Amino acid sequence: MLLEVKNLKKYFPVAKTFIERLLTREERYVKAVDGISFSMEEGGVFSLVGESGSGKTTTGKLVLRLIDPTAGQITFQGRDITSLSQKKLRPLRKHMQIIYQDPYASLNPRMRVGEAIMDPLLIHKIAEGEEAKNMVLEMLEKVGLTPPEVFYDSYPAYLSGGQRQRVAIARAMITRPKLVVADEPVSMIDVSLRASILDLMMDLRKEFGLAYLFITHDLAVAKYISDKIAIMYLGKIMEMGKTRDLFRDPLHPYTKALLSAIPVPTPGKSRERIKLKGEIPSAIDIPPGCRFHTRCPMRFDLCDKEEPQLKEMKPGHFVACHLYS
Amino acid sequence: MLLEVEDLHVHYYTKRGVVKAVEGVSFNLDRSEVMGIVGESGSGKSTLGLAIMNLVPSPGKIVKGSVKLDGKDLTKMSEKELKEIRGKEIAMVFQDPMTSLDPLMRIGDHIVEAIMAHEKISKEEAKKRALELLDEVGISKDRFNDYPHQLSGGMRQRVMIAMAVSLNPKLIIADEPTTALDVIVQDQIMDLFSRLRKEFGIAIILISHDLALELEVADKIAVMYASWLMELSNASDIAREPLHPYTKELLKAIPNVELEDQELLSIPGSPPDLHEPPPGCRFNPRCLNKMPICEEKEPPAKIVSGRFVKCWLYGR
Repeated sequence: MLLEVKNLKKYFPVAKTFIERLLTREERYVKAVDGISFSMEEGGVFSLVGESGSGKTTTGKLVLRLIDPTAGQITFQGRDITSLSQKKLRPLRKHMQIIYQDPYASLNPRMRVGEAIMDPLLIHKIAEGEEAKNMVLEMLEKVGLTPPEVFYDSYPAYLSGGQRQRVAIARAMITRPKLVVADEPVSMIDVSLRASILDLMMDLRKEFGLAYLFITHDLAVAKYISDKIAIMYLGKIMEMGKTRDLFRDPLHPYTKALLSAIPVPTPGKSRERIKLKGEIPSAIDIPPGCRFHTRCPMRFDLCDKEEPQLKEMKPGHFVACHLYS
Repeated sequence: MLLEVEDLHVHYYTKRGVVKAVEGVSFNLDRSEVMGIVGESGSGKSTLGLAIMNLVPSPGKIVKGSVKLDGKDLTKMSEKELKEIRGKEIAMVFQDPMTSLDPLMRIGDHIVEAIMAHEKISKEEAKKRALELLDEVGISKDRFNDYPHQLSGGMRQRVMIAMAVSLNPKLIIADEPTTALDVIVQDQIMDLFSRLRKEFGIAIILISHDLALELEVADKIAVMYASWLMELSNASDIAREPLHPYTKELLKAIPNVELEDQELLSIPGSPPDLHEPPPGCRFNPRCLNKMPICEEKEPPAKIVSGRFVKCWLYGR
């Protein structure tokens, strides 16, 4: 197993106003990630799908130890990294990289493309000088930025959004990581170019044998690239399974609602629509019982009393819903 | 006909030269009709939306063409006449409601102010109308006194829509109104739009990069590419049998959750720099059906079985 996450939690304390500090000692927390468990195999693509506020991005950062978890355990390549110091994490960093959503913000505008991609090689003392440059040129070629010599010397300002994201991918791949967290890597890319970025990521996966933890709000994109998908809501996994099972036989009412809200480019086709009222509640005041019960069209008396646990319904297909208990 | 746009041209006069952001766009829109304008970044779709209201920001200018609302040409109106039209007859909704809402003003007052700017009614009456409008767009009346930051992104967009409909406009132009929102909230906002058109007969122009969304909610769709209108027809025709190679490619590039083992294709290359557009057809460097003439001459605007397309494939 490449990565194992057990009962992972991240609570952010809420800043109190002066009056609140006088009146109460009680701390309040944003429960961004509230006890999730999953595992990833080498070379797999696992997507975390959810609306904003579901905790998917926080999970990605926790897994890479970019932020410290409140509770739980993270095991990477068989090693418990939950409380490793940043110094001890350093040699592991080259095996775990991240690609961000915004290719305009993730690249230093003063750094030439070649330098930006070479940087991780120097930091991790993998290569330097001529050898490093050759590795960068080779990587530029692999991510489709050709002729590589031209892109090596150019600045990000002269590149399109799609080209910048290719640079960000090259930079993440140059250390040959085993795990790459990709946080909405195509949501800011023009529609006509998205597939080429996704396909590039999939080609690199095959070539380098790496795994992606893919974070997205877009179920259609997740469906296209993942082996396994987890649907998150307010810091918890509501349903998790192989991509095919999840789409053929979605179990959780929330998954069904998400699926039915996605526009489908086939007009006139009547689909079963499940309409939800309202929006995702605040992660400070998480509803009791099942956290989805306030919006659930299927809720019954148990739902606001007891929190459903993630249960394996079929091999590899999990759901946290009282309808199935 | 509610809206007639004819041969509209918008240019931006930048330091690097003239950018022709909208070139020769024509279309009509009926009452309670929903038209989608779809295109990628830089296609000119947002400029087109602004030009319809004669609101193109400097250094941009409408250089040619007309925009007639109920027969009156907005491009020939004075700023004073335009103020009467904007808000009252055409209203606009943008992607980010936070930039359009005053953070220090209660949401109810936003709507009251919008009403009183155009109508001579008492504050009491305006407030009554504002409360009704909040209800209409699905916001509880007791949030009248909330400030914008107390609302979620979806609710802020509902406030914007309440302001937009407060003066019973004939047309709402919505520019990427749900791009920053989650799919479930997007679905709710689209339901709201469809109710407004049914109940009040409001026509809607929905500008979006999301062709799947347009196909689902629009009656007809205008496909823009590099300032040109490439194709315009019924949504169902576009989905079943797109005419323009760009539309065809775009349809293959969008993931469809209903399909199993879909192969997504991306369009090679990227949209042109409008400072130096390619000669001939603007799509020719990326087109799979390119012919020699496509690199030489601008394709003609053709009507093919009642549908508009700008492509050499359909003859001269």
